[in-house]
Amino acid sequence: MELTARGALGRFRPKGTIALLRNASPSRFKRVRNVVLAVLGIFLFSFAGTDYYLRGQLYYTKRVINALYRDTWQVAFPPSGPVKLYVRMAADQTYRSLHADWKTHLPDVFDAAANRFAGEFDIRLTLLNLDAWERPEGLDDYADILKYVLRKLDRRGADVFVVMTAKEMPAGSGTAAGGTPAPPSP
Amino acid sequence: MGDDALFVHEMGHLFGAVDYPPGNPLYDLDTTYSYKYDTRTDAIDPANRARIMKNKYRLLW
Repeated sequence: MELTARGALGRFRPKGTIALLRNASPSRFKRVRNVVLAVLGIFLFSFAGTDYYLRGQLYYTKRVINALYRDTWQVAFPPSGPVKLYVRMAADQTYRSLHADWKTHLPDVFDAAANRFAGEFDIRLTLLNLDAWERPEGLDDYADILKYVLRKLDRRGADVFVVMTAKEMPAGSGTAAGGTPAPPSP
Repeated sequence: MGDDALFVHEMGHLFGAVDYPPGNPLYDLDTTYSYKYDTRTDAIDPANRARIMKNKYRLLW
């Protein structure tokens, strides 16, 4: 006797959730689906909202999405080849005062780092432009600078925004301060 | 070390490189990520090199 797919499925009697969904009418299925989506949506909004409130940015939300993306999509479809990233740089008033030639100095700094990342990791960085930015008085802590930059400065489509800042050493210390890049802020 | 070494150091963090502060077993390693040597070398240690390669294709926002 020939067993058709329909006949085989007909003998299969699932229980639990599968049976519930299989036997459910279309309207009931839509209702369940909408409830599930609503619960997921509320959870995601709450998570992202709390994240933004506590960290000033979607810090953990982005990390979770990155982890999911890396462990699911990228596992199924492994990427290959070079990575191209566009970078903007901005130097604050202290950095500019310590490096009068900052407009020529920073492209050299960028080129040296870009050559290393291209050669060692096949990560190709392209500098879009250099800007000046004004760091508010009293904003000295690097973490605070990053938060300020994330909220106030526009990276205008660049993948990476590098803010350069420097600390002036106390008078009489005899040591000139060098430029210190704050961590690139994605 | 110059600004270019610092730039490399910070860019590496974007791709998951981690620092080795005092107390870390790798603190004495000659790498830009060791707080002991960060001002003296721009070398990237193998562990952080592997982290950067692993996260090379991560999303950046």
